[in-house]
Amino acid sequence: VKPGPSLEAITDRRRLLGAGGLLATSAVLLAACGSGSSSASSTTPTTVYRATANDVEILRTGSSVEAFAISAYDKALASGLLVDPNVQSAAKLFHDHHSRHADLFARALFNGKSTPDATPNSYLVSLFTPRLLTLATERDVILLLNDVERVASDTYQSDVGRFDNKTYNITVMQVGGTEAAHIANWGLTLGTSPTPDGAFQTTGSAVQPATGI
Amino acid sequence: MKPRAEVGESMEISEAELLDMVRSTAEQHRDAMATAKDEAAALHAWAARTAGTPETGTPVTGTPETGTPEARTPETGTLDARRTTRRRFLATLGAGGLAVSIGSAVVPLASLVTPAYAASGPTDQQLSQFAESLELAAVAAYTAASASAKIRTASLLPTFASFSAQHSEHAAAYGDLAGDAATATANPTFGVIATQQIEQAADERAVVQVLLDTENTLSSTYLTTLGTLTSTATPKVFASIIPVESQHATVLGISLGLQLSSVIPPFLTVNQQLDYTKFPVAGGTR
Repeated sequence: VKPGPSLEAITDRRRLLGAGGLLATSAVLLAACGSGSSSASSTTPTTVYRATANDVEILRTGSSVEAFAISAYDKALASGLLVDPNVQSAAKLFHDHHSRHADLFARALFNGKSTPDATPNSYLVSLFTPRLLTLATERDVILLLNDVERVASDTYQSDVGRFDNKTYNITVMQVGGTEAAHIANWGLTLGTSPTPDGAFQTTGSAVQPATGI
Repeated sequence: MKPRAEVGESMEISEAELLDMVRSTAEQHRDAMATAKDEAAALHAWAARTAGTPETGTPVTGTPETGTPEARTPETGTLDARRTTRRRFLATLGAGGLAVSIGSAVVPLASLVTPAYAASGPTDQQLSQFAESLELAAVAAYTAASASAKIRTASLLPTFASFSAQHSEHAAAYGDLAGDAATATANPTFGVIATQQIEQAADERAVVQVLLDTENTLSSTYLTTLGTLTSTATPKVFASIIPVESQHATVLGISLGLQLSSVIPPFLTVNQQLDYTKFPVAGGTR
């Protein structure tokens, strides 16, 4: 038995297409789908998707959650309490992630002909401010950041199935999956479980659409 | 604050840390099960009851699919993003000239797909069946890893056991959604690839890397599926599992001593998704 291909090689579409010939494959795909001539690939899309009010409400809530997460990480990094270089590095990385998540929500909203809510979610501000004011140790900060991640991850998971445009399910879980990874990292740092809910993440900390925006 | 272990030859987390983590996982899991399991069970029961209920939302419209590689940027509900819809699964059916090489066997894709299936696209039940088979393949991979005698870091074994048990739970949940289409069998193709790679792995690091790839493959596949599922409830089950696969990947990546920025990218991607048609469930598409 010859060695099989690596999982990465099998699952990397770029590599697969590169090896197999993109043009030939595309031609076959077009024919198979009955989706028109090869010129379709160069046709400028004429359909503009306008997000429904429901989708906008959910996405704007997401953007406000990200704005809050950015502000929480800003305060954590400015607190002077993060002394472990690994923790500092992780906090800076996750701060950058949340900035990019906020950009993603903004882009989704702009594409849907709406605008983001760049103001930190007011519900979360009320919820976390007492803790932000009493941070005393590095562990306090990490616990808070872990909880912020938990809120974000739960929120995006709970959004799945609520959208009119199902593609937004992917949008929110592309973000939610990363927040879950943040939780795992903070769990390892704190010496707690990296999968705190076990086999299935629950949504008890979710911010409901339109809350705090 | 527990000090992070020094980056060693192969593991960044100390054995003590991993053992603590696994113990904590088990304890917290038991504690959480009183509520979380009830919640999950209720969710799955609800999903199983309502599976097949069509969405009533705005249909996704756009230009014809081109079969080009998916956008590398995160999905935003734009026209590019719609490439991750059900059509992606259909589009790949046209790759009849391609073949999957597994060991010495080369399987023409066209032989794995029925015309009826190609015409209608996968149903939620079929995608749940597919997911069930992937989860059981993941269980097989962890079993092979634990039995490989290549694992020198003792604390990895309980970690593998914990993650494997969670994949078993995922398989059961997907099996419930699949109903009478459930196969209770690991995906033959993916399972063979994963276990074969583990058997051929040179050392512990290589074994963990295969498991990491497996976790990322599952989360990528499920992420893509979220744009394809049509019922209201089934996506919620997928969405409850994606974060856990992501957390598994994080633990494995950190245990490899990889840079955190490599372990946790800014966005979960669909780049490692598996094509339903290239990895048929046992017995073929049902």
